[in-house]
Amino acid sequence: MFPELNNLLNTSPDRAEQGKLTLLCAAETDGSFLVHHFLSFYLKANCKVCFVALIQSFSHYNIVGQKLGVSLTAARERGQLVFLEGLKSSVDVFFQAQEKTHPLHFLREANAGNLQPLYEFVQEALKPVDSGAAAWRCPVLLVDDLSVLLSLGVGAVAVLDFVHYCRATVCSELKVPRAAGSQPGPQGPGHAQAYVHHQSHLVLRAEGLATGFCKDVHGQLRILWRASQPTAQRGRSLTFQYKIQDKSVTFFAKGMSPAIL
Amino acid sequence: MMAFEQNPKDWYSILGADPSANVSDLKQKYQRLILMYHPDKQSADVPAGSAEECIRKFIEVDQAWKILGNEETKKEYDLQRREEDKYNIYSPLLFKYFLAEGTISGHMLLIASAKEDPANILQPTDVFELLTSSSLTPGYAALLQFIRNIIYEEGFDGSNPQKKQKNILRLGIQNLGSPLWGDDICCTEDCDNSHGLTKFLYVLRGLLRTSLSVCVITMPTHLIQNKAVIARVTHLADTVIGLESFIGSERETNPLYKDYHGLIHIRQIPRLNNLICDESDVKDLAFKLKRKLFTIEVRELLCFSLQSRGK
Amino acid sequence: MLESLLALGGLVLLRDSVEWEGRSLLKVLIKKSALRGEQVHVLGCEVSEEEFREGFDPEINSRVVYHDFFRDPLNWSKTGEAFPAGPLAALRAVCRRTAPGPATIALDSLSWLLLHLPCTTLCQTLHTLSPQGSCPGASTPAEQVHVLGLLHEELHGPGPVGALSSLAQAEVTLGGTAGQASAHVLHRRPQQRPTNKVDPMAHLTFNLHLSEKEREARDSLTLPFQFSSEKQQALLHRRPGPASSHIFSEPDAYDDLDQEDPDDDLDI
Repeated sequence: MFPELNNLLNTSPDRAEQGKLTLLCAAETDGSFLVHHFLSFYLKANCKVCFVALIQSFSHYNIVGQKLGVSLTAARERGQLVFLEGLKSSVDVFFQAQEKTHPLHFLREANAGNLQPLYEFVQEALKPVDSGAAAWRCPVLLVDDLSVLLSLGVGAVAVLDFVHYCRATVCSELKVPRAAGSQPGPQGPGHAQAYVHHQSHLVLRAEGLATGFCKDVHGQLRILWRASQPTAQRGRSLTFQYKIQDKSVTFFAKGMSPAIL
Repeated sequence: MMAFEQNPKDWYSILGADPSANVSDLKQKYQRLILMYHPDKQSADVPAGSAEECIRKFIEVDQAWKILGNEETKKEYDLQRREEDKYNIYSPLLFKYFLAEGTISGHMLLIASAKEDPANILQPTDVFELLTSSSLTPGYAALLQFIRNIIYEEGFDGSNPQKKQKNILRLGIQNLGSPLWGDDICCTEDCDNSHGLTKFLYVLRGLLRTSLSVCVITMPTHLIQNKAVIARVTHLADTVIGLESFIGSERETNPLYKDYHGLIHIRQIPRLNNLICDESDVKDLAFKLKRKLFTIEVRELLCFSLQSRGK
Repeated sequence: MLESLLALGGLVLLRDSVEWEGRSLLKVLIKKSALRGEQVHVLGCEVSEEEFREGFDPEINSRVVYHDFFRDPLNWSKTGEAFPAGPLAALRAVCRRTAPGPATIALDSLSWLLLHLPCTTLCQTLHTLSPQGSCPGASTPAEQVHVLGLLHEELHGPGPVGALSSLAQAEVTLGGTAGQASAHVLHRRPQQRPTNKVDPMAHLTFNLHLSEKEREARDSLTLPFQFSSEKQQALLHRRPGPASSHIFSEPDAYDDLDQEDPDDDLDI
């Protein structure tokens, strides 16, 4: 996790908030550093994490995670992390008939239907275990990323229903998860992204610079807190620019990059 | 009237117009030129040679207008210019270089093409093994099955012992997305099977990630009608490079680009096993092909070059 | 302004966006209805019941009936708690079940319903609640039923939004600039032209409204540089000075002494 981003979001692993949906989106740039941040953040916060990784393999996240101080292999072995590797499972789903419906069953079918099997997988993964083993803190669901589902033929409404259910049932029965779904900018149907925006409590949007490529400033991050209560603070929004390095990301106010000053 | 020309003429430059000009502009240019070159309008005392020249030009201009003035023929001509010039000259070259590099390194090659016989792309010799899929019926599912079988049988995914230790499988797939694969994304904007290509790419990537293989695909994106499909395809790939050839475009005669044959656009670079990617500072790459030397340069500076040997 | 929205029966459409959310305005309207003694039925599809009831006093909460479509709208949990017949049936049941007396139905949100139901079905169901659409034998006269619908504008094309808009008696579009929220109110009265009112002071934390006395005082104020009737009199009744004024001028070398009007040869 990136300590600077924690400061901007005003959180820390021991104060992880519960019951919130966070949307990570990216436009004209790569926003995957945000996924790595949240993955390592929640593993360090001792939360139970279910990670639906559709766009990259396990080893990719593991290697980057090690740079950020977490070991995904160890987390998986001790039961803290449930990892669904989309790329690897896709081969199995596509070539072999499955006895029961696989979470990624839509790859085989011409008409994708709904994502209920995927939701049931998530629900099963985040169910509290009564075996008396180390109790984890709030369950967390991470999806990387939702637009892959749209590219593979799943309808926008089906994706929205899946997000709805993850937010609703996993939330109120288990009382606490935080879901982060990341999808790159305007490629997905605009409606799907806008609807998830409406459901989110926190939106982090990574954008490319309007002026084009720059070696020292990789992009701009817009943080939007959405308030749903009339008495709470109205939607607050902050914008920062950032530079990604090998093991961390530095943030600075617009135009205040150390390379320029 | 006119002899059949081997090389198709550039009707736009004959009328002195930009390919993006609209019909009324073209008509104006045509009318101006036709008056200039009309045999009856020439003065009587011009030398004989130039009179013939005038007549030839007159006929050319007339021909150009016949093609460009009619909407149907104009569309056909525009399409024809783009397809042959942009992608069928340079992308097969790069495709062959990728495969040739594999032969030098002793890797196994798998070539798939629905348009031409893979054996025509690269001649199999005793030095390396070549697997072709020209006998496959068009269809992504069949191709995926074929690739998976090869990976399994030859041991690239560890299930069977490899014939040669630490061998890598190089896959080359040509013209993916064209109707010859049974996909209609190039034919219509609102196609039935709009997710066939993306599903194919996703499962292919899964196969590549779990085996010792790498794949280069060429795709005629200028033919894909629905631009959202291109965005999805880009998102599902690791590295994406766009080739823009100058042939037939106004850059061909632009003095800024006179030393080059086209531009290379690096659209996406993978960030694999890393937070950052190896993004070079330079985004301005151009290429040229002289005899058998394909050079990629940063305008004036020489970057690196590939030399082809034989076919 | 809020009172006028609830004055007539029928549909009030609240159009919000990601930047300017409308749920808080919906809750304010629900509060007002409840305080007037009306019963409020909420068809909740987007937030949980706890989250929705936050900020309501116990008195208001007792008048708000929350129909939970958030937890299991599509019956995926198979516990049987959900509404097996789907949201449309639930909506119709809510419409029929309103006790005699004025009532308010809040739909949170119309966007969710539009994504899961055909637009035509939704419009027809909403129309049965409007004063024009209700059948004569209904238990509650439709003038007394208020329907508040929250719609997220950017999610839908102009077609569905326009269709819902035409059914609404009043429309509130939330927007704003530079951190200040504003509400644009459009009233549709039958056979009358729609009236527009932009109320930029809708959600301010300080008071910009004027009371009657303040308004009178403001109107009677004379501004120092205003050309009022008093000033006019003062100017006209100036002490008579020289009857006419003289202009003294001496032509110099560059002056053109041509007396002709140079505009004469203009051919207009």
